[in-house]
Amino acid sequence: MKIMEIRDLHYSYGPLSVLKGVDMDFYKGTFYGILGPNGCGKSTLLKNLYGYLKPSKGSITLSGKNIRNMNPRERARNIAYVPQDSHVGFDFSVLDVIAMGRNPYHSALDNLGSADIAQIEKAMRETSTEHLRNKSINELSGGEKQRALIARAFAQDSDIILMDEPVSMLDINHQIEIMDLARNLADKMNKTIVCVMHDLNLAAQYTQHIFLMKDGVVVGAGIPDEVLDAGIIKDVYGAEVYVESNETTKSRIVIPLSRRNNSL
Amino acid sequence: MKKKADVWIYIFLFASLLAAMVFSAGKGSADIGFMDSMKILLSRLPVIGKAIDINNLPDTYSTIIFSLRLPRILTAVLCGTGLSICGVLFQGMFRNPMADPYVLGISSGAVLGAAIAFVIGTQASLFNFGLVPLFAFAGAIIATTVVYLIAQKKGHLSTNILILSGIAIGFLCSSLISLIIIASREQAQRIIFWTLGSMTGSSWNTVLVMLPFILIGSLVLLLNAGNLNILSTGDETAVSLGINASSLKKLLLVVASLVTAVSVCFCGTIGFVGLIIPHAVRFITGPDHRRLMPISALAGALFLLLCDTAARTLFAPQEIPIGVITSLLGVPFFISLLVRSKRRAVI
Repeated sequence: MKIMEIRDLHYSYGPLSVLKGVDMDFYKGTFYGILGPNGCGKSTLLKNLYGYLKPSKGSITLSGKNIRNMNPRERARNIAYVPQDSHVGFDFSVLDVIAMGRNPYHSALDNLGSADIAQIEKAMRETSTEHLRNKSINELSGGEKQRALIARAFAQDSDIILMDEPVSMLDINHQIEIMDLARNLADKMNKTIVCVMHDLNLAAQYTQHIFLMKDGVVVGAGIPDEVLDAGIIKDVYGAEVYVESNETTKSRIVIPLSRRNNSL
Repeated sequence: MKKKADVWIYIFLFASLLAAMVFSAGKGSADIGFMDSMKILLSRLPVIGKAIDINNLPDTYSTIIFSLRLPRILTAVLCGTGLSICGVLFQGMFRNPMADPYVLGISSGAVLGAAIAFVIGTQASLFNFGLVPLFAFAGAIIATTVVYLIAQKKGHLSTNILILSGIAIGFLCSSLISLIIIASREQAQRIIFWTLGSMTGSSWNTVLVMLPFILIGSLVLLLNAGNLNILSTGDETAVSLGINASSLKKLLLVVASLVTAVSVCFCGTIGFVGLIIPHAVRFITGPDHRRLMPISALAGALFLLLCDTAARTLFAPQEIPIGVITSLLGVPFFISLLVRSKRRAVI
């Protein structure tokens, strides 16, 4: 089922045009990877999707309704966001942070009800953060903090969860842990995950559909095996890579090649 | 998440505040004493008042308490509430522990306004107030508006630019103040005294003007305490959690600026309270603004009232500027908190 549609999306920071006509379709329960070189507009795209930035042209619609015609709370009930900069600031407890995910369901005055508590508990179960609930968010390790922020997004009970490079600061063990978690949210909880990422191998292993961006437009889209092709990657990133299909991971493996000594 | 223990904190602070008010009303050149002061105060209350006999006390006591001390006490309470609650707001909104109610140039704008009023002459008055509070209020509002206009761009408010332009406008006002002081040396001492703060000028009129600003302003800020929690995690996150960050920031800024300006214009630029009370309370409550804000409001009121009582009685008849007392009393207390605290790394 199609859940979100982006049509001819443009965005510019002042005179600098960053998105130049992006078209994308998203379906329910699918894990999407958004890839592309630095500055191609990936993060800007996400900021448009959760309403922080206002498109200068084009539309983002959820089941036919333009997100600019939604109020912020309604938008937040449909789209959650896991930020890249996971600095939370004050010393909030993990539980407080996850409970913030219920904000779109409340006015400033009413307290959390039993439905909220249930959703928060569920979010902590799904992300294995129950034992962290009374810890300060600032005491957590990188992986734990990322799980807590995913829990907050899950508590928002939205169909779509956006993630901005969720594993770029983590070691390989925690990268796998977070990616497994994210993929499970798509497979088991029927969430649509839109994940901006840099690591082509993790994208090959985890995503079901890739949008490859360059200079503010989509230059490649499809399943990882189609998009992660040495020629396409060379075009987009300007880097020579070696690509092979791996028996163990059942997915493609991309190895960037040094420009120093071309051994192949 | 709220804790049950909070009820006791509220009861304790509220009872202390009432006790401090009674104590302060009895303290002064005419030493009325705690019990008599309580009787006189209670005698004016409906219902209970009828049961209290104050005929054995001199009439002058009543006059002293009701025309002189009570308005001053209430002014201190309102001012302490306003400055503390705004301190919490600015620290939370700017995610900056160094922020205080004066961060947007309010204090220097107010001092500049007051300095101009001192030079023009303080004989003139409007609505029963001298020129000083009016000019100070105008100065505060103009300075903050300029800071705000510099920082806003296409509806977005950049926190860093707000803070930086606050500092810049602050310096500009300070140099103008220095010019005024040099040009009019006879006013220098009054201007410097004013910057240290004093409740000397307070009257029932002061209370009547301050009350609606501080009451309504504080209420708006308290109602947004939950939103402030989310705002303190950053604008982008706040938007993704369903908060219209830029319009909320504008609302809170305008309200907090009015509350601060009205406090400052009557009492001078009392330092320390708006910076330290929020930190001291945060040691106890943690960062949740739904607890931090109301408890800071009460603690700030209590603290400033005690400071003002000390200011007018310690070296009577000589008054000490309240800014001196807030630091003298507050710093040792705050340093002891800092030293003992385990949360120190996170401030």
